[in-house]
Amino acid sequence: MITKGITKQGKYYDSVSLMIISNEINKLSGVIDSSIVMGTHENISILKVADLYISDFDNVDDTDLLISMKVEKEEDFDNALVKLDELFNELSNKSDDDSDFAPKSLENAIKQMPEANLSLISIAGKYAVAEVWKALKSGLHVMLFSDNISIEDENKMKAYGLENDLLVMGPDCGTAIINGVPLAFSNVVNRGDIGIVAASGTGLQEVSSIISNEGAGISQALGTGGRDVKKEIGGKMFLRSMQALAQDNDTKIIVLVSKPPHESVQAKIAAEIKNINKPVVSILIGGNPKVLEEAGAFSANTLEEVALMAVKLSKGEDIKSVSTDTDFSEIVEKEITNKTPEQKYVRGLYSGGTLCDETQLLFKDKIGYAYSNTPLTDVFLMKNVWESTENIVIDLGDDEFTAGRPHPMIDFSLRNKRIIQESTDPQVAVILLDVVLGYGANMQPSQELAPIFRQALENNPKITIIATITGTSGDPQNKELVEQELQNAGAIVMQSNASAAKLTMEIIAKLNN
Amino acid sequence: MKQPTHPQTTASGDSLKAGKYILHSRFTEVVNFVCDNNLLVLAKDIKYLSPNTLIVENVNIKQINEVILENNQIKILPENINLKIKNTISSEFNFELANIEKTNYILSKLQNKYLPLFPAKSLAFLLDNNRKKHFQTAFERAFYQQITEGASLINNNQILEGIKNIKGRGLGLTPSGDDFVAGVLFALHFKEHLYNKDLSKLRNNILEIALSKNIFSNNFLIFAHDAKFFYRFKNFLEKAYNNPDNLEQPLNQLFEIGSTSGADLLTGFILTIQYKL
Repeated sequence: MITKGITKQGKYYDSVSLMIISNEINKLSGVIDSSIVMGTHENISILKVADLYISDFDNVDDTDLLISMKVEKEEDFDNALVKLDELFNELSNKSDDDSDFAPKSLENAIKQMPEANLSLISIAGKYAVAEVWKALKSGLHVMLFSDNISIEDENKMKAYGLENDLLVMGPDCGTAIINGVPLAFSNVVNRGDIGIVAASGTGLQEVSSIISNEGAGISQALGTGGRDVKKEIGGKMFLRSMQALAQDNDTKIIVLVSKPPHESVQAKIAAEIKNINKPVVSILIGGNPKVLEEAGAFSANTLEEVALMAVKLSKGEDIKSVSTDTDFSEIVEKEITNKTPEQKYVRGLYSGGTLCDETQLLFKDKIGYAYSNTPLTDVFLMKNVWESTENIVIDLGDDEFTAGRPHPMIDFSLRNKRIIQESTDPQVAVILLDVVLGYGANMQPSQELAPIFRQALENNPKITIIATITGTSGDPQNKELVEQELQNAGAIVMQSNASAAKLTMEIIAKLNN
Repeated sequence: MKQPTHPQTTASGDSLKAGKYILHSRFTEVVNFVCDNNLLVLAKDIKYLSPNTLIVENVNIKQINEVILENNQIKILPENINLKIKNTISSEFNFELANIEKTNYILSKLQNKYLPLFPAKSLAFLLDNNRKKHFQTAFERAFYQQITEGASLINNNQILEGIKNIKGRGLGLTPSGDDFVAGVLFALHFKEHLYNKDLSKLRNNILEIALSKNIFSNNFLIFAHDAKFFYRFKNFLEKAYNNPDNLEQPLNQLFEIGSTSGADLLTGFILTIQYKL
């Protein structure tokens, strides 16, 4: 083992960047430890104690950047320096990109990139409508992330889109993957032959991530916004997206994901399925799949199941071999043995709306309706969302929680607080939550959640924490790493929301028997 | 409503000093300029406002090499843009908001309820021993050790020795230790008000020890010494004293920028208020 280092002059970085770079260097093979710090007299004293000091640092200044590493051999240091340069370059390129591409208007953006054919609009709803019209009139497809758009405006935009062969994804469209480019909240998935149309943001993320994790891939993933399948909009973009995927040579299998469409829209989707000469797999979360089955689609009960069915089709395997029934008895027995008689309830704290719905639906038949801010039936609407009672499953991404703060997929603070709060309730047996990875989401989920889990388990060591991760190993946060760190913090991590919900309900059912 | 698209200043700190400033360092939303020992910061968002910051709009801050500040105007080069300085925001805090009872209540809330919001790598380990686990590399372990020793010295009334152990320690351009010391200096002003004491000599001594060749830290520390509050810290304190039962949002705003900076500052502040000085 040797300690080697270099200094860089005239380079200034904030501590976040230095921490990130240092973490990356520490991951390299042959690097035992590293430190990248400004050369203050005090930091030098720390380097000496940490055995990371080298004589080259004898005459450095406060404003010099000191890079020091303990490595197995000389070659490891050289390799690390190459990586270090890459990381520093990425940082400065990122800054350059920011300044080069900072158009202040859609018109300027089009001037900067005249070949663009899609615009992503994410500004306050009241300003967004005008921008959408500018984009459409300029011949651009639109992904509209903004919400608070009237249904009348949505209808007009989508009618214009249909007339002019332009997609209008949204409003409130949180995710899409176009030609391999992830937009807004989305995951880094394999490219492949499965196309997705979804009127559900986290539904699309969960399905596309599972498909990718199972070794298949996505051709296109088109979001429509949840209201598209309502009567007023009539499924304009859902149907148009189905047609687009039917015509797309790279798409061999089509997956449809939606909350229950209006009856009239469902009939149109069924009619469209009959026109498509490709296998169609569908999930209508909480809806009746019969109409689509009669039209020739395969239907699934969970997001996990629809993803696995699509994977089977993609691999040319028998779709009937898909099984999502897992024997949880061993885990259940282990988890119930240490519970007190008081511990009977689950507190589901979700950042993804569709995942929240799916969990409630799965719970319904096994442990009954859960109280929620977005309940399956109004009887179970929480009177006060800040106070928990019995079984609850909350969507923390709903308006009442997001006013004046970022979405809970980005900002964990509210949920962290809630986890701690629930952990002090002696009636709580299970805390269930989703962790959505990918672009746009919180970049340090495990760093933020692990101490919270530890604190919750310190408050009540008998609580079970069950987490489901929506994401892939390609995501910037890296699913495997997050999974490992959450497990180290005491959580049970499941591979899908459906399996997390099923495990939870088996534990709760057993505790209540 | 149409948004203005012409370059303009939207807010400015109240301690800007005239001079010809040259580029020092650039970050995504902030660019720093120096003139002698003075620092001038140009930023895009008011959350970055400090007594020596100008918030500008519709200006590509990343292309600026030089800024001339005089007569309530700035000239931005090389683009030769002249902007009037307007909307000067006071950095003074109204100490009348603070009394002992309320201050103790806020501090107990912060320690008992809101510690999970403090970033893992911040100096909040001085408030909660369990946070040691976040410091795993050799550098971090030695850093943890030295900072803990410094805080212990301060607690044992060897204040200046403790400050020596803490200042200048940390990764980036503004080391965590210096943020902590700024928190100490701000807290001393509160103690002067709360207990009707004169701690000016102690403040002067701390500043003298803490000053270094780091122009960022020096500016930051001098402001703290002079009770010139950064916008986000002042905002936090005002909200905390006005509504001590709802600290989460103000805390998140305080912690929003600068990695651990806000939490380090607050840790120094909390501990100093609690120390028997």
